[in-house]
Amino acid sequence: MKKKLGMLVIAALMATTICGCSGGGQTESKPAETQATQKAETQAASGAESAESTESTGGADSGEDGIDYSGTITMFCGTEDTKPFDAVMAEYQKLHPDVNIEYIIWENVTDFETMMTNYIATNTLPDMYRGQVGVVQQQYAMEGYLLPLDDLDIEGNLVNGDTSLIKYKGSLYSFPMTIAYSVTFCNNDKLKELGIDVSYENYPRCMDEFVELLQKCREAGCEYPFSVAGSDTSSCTAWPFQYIYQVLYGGNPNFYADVLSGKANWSDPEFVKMFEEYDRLREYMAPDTAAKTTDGQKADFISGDAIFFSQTASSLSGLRNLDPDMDILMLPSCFTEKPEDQTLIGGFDDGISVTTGAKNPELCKDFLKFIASKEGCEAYCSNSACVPTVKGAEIDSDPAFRIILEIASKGDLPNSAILSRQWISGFKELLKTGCQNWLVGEDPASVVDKISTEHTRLMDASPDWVENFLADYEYK
Amino acid sequence: MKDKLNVNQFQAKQNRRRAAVIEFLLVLPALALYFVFVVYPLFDGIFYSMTDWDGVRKTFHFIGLKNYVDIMHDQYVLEPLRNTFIYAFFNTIFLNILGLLMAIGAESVRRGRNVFRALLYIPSVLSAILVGFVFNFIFDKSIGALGQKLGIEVMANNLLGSKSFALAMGILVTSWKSAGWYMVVYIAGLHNIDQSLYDAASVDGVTGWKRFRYVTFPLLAPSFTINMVLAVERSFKQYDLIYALTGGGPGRASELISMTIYNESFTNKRAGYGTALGVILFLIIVAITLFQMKVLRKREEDAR
Repeated sequence: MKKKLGMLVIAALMATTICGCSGGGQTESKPAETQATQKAETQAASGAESAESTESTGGADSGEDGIDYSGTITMFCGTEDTKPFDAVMAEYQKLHPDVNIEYIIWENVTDFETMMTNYIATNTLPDMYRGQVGVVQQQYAMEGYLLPLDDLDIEGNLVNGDTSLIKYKGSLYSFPMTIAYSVTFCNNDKLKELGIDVSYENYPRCMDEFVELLQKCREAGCEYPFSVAGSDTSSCTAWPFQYIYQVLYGGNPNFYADVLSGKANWSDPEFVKMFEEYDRLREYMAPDTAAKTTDGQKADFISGDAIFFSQTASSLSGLRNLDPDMDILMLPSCFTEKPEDQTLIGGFDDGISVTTGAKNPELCKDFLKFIASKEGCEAYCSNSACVPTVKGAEIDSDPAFRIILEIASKGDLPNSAILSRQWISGFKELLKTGCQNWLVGEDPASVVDKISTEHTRLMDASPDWVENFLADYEYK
Repeated sequence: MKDKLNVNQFQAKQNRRRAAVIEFLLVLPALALYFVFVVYPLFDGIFYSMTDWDGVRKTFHFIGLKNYVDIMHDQYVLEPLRNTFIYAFFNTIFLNILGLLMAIGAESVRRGRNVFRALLYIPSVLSAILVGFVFNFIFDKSIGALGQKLGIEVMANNLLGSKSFALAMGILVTSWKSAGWYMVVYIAGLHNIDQSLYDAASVDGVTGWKRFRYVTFPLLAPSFTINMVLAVERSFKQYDLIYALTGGGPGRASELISMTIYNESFTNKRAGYGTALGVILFLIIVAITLFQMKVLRKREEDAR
């Protein structure tokens, strides 16, 4: 008996790590934060305006209020963010020399959410964070983990665009640092080498034109011009998301709300069609796509083994780090059937928030106010591949943006706002799983059935989330 | 005389009591840490497994055994659980066979034995994440190129992208990485075998396979027990290496239960459900460990 007891204790020791990892939580309430009182004032979702706007904003007034801030700000941000934040901090230190910044790095959106969950559970939130707009902002705001930013009076600094995902109950909780375009990246050096010209005048406007371009590349010597990093969640879901924003929402802008309310289903023909359309791209993708990593994808892109891939514009920083001089083009996604249906997918992104865990909230807010000023935004965007969101901020944009910005400034294409980043938790992973299943040869009907079943499972597990989403949703 | 005896007995009793108190005080810090970092999280985990907590909200509801009932017919849990059993089964076998072969091989080397041992042991001190990423590259480039040369399509297109091979490759890489650790335990076991038994066996004309079968292997029973138990337990808890190698894909082909626990808890924001899965995994490990200990201890006793 003693021996058994001893063995049980040993086994308990071994397995506690597992239980400990998935368990634990915050049972004590944080002090109540200021309740948002303003009524929601969602701006028209007519698309984010290019930051070419010349309207000026008030300059940074930090340091002019007589308060001498000091201390270290803990910033939770992505790998590529440290350089722009360092640049902003260098400017800020001219006003407040005793302020420093230290970083906690997340690698991808899943990392971000996981680490935030841990910080929440252990009551150790970082002072500030930079995260993808709309993923969880409103949930954090609702639970009281973010400080409202209304008193900073920075919303007016923003260029015109949809602010619904950075606000909760009318209060601003996050300041976006870029307009994220979801695009098709193109290795223009390789295209030139193959004797193919892609420009503002002749970029592909629909799926047929894109497939035609891929075929041209093949005939010119690039066997697999289109690339997907099948093993990576972000890459594997970037192109279906582009299809969803551009085509699915083009047909029914309320598709996701309809799915949640039971009026539509992921196994409906319009979603099955996505995989049927993508079947046309499959022959232009390398046979090892299912196991391709983002590093492998980048290597293929830079070496010219692949010429196109779908991703958000923020991926440009990583490419620039690898090859600063490469001629890259970003093209609007072209997955529609007809050219006239093509849209430009974009919206505010890279939101910076101050958490309720901030050790010195006034300092953090002042720093955020500085970032949201013309000077701060210029310092930030000049050191990243970002399109500025602050009125009057002017930077030399990366030449890779040349077609996109021309389209945006001329208003050639209607905007598909990235409104539906409000997905149920786990949706991105299940979409990845579905796409991987498709990549390894499962037929589209079976793939969408699985996506539909698993999505229903997630809905059943989070009825409150579904209810809240539908209650707050504004049908278009 | 009787009084003196009573006094001595009393003093001895007092000394024993004092010693017991001192021993208890000495153990107390460790015991306190054990309660704080082991017992409390264990019971806390069990508590949260009976809630609908999402990991973010400040509030949650107590839902009794609902999570456990749901798990029993959740196909998205059963598939990774099946993968985990397959992974643990083959991993345990390969790790022990490889570890034993490496131990015997390393011990039979006459010159440079320590260098040889170190070389075999090095993979087990490498970071699992690092090994995962490096092998990812190897499967993509080196093995892919080999597959192309040999004309084997599935190998040329990266085995990690195949539903049929991804989990098997995970087992292979884990065996490569971890076998060195098991080798060390077997080497310790080999050193504990009395040389005179080998001498006696030689006198009886027992050599080679028979010597291993009838002398070495039975006397390695304690090492075998440790390695079997730890291999199973570690395999069931495996996460980082497979995460870096395949991410659980393609689809869910190589997803292990620990990854499901993570995904449910953090990605799907179902911390209560994920914790219930953690508790079930704990129970599985306890049950298998107890069974192994019972069987293998008996084998140890038989070998004596």
